[in-house]
Amino acid sequence: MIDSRAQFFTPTFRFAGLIVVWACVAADSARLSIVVSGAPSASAPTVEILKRGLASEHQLRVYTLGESERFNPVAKGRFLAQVSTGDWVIPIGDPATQVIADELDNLPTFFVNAATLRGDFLSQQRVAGVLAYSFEQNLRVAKLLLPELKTIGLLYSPGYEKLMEKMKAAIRANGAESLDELVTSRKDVGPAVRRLVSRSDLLWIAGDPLLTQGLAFEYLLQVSLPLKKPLFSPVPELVADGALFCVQADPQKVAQAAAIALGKLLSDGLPEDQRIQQISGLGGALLLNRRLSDKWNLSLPAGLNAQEVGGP
Amino acid sequence: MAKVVFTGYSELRFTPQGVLEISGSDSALALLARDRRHTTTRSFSINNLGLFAATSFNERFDFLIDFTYRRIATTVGEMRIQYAYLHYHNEALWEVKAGKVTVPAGIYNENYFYPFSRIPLSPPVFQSSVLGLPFADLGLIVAKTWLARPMDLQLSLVAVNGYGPAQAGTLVFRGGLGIIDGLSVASNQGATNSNEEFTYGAKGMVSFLPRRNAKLGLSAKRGPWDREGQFDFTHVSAFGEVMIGDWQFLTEALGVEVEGDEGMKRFFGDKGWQSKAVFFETSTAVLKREARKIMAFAGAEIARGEGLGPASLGEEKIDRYKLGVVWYEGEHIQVKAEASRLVYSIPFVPGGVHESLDLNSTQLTTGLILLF
Repeated sequence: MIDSRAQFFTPTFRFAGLIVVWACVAADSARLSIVVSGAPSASAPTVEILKRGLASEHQLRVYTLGESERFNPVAKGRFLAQVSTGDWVIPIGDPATQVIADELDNLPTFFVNAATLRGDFLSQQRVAGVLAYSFEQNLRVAKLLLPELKTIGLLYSPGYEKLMEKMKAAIRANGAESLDELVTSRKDVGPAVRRLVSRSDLLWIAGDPLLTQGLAFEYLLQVSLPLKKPLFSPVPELVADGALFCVQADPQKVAQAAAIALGKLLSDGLPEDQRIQQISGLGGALLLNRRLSDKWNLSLPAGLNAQEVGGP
Repeated sequence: MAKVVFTGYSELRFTPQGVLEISGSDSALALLARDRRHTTTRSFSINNLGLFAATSFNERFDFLIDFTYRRIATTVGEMRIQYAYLHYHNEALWEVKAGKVTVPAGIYNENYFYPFSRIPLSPPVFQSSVLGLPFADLGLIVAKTWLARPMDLQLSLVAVNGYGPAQAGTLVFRGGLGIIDGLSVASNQGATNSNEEFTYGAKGMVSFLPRRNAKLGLSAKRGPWDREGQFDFTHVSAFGEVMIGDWQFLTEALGVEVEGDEGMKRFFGDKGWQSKAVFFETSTAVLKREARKIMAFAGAEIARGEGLGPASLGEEKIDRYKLGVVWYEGEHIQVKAEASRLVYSIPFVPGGVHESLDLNSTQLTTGLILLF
């Protein structure tokens, strides 16, 4: 009788023990849905750095956002459903981050190397990430291009408040002053821009589509350019549209910072002030609007190279 | 955390001018239940309103469903589930779909059926109005893709319930002409199999060029449609597609053969009949800026049908031409305008006299497609 019970219970307990061990391991591991867009080769180094930097128990799965997933609702629905099987969604770059921000609300998201971000998305507790730019790098170039720079106007939307505090601190550290205007809707853009332009030498436009897209940005240009008040922004595409310059952070450094931050987030969580991060130090790629810099006789010091972009 | 993701679209159609001319005897008009030979129309409808739901159980299993409301004017003309299936897929590129599936037949059915996925506003007439798009049925698809150099190969095998008889009678397969009366063969499909047999089919496709932007393929399916499982419906397709720069060229040739169809005997003179159809469409971008672009398109289609036996009365003819433009405004809005001309004729024998029913239709149609 005892033997038969032992024969029954021993394998049962072993199996149950295995389940408990598996459950404990599984509880510490996370399923991570990495979302990339464009050519896979462009994001491959970032994905590789993330894979290397994260603990091996986490399950990483890479999803590619193609034309079909953006323009075909059947493919888009299937894509988003598959992405949402992860515990965390990790979009890399602007297009992937914008789709995730617009379509998958309520999912924990850690973006990597993104510059175009809605303020209301940034402000959510479930959102963390590493930006594609650093204030430090952008301000350094601003000072080099405009040595007489004294006042920088900051135009931002709700959700960017904490980042703007960091920007103001960086401006102070560079020996300049800042003015700021909060824009809550498109109709606020006009008055806010007029107030800022008259009192600033240079305008920083936060990467919220509310400010960087459509009529709002066109109005910004119409008001600022005739007064020779340049704009700069974290969104590279705006340089071709009329911004003076943009410094993009080195994607490899961003990926390394993201791997560290994500690892910490998955193991212990991130404190609120580290939820949205920028890389520190100099470097990065400078995009310069050559037409504007020539028109205003702005020149870069020898040794500082820029990728030149034509603009209006 | 799996969640259900809803996406969808609506297609609003406005026809500012449509002219339909019918020539033939009074018997021909009676056949179509019409009392006028010349009709000018203007119309507006929500042609399609589709809601897609998708959920993933894990990395390998998804469930997808499409609820579509069609021809909404003052009331809904039709509500259908266009697909609802469990989808298994793995890293080795094996796929299994079980449920109501879009049948892998030709290229248009799987790839360009939806108004947002094709460039022209209207689909080819023979496929959409006579056969009835989409070809979707209850059953199972097993597919495998081989990625190789210099080309990729995809092979699909399908087993589905297949078509049944039309409502007009158990020995009627094509219950209406389709082009004129809106009754397509697709109406023969129900939730249950009409006989004890399945319809089996296969599709093979190769994709080549560096970005796999050229495709060639063949598909075939065959199965009985009547209650006794005696009379077969056979459908074969050959297709090709090339995308070079902003240009797209798409063509598909298809042939169908039907046995034992009492419905078409009065037109073709025989219960067995066949149709062969081919269409060609081309399009190119004429203006592009970021996510906005304007494309121009043109298309032509020819179809010929006839009875299989010696008593065949003549040919059913479909000639159609279309051209137009599409404006893509970002990811969510498409505006299409299309001018088209259709010339149609079919023989028939009212009271033993050999006649022909001829129809000419010219239409200017605009469509607004909203994606969400």
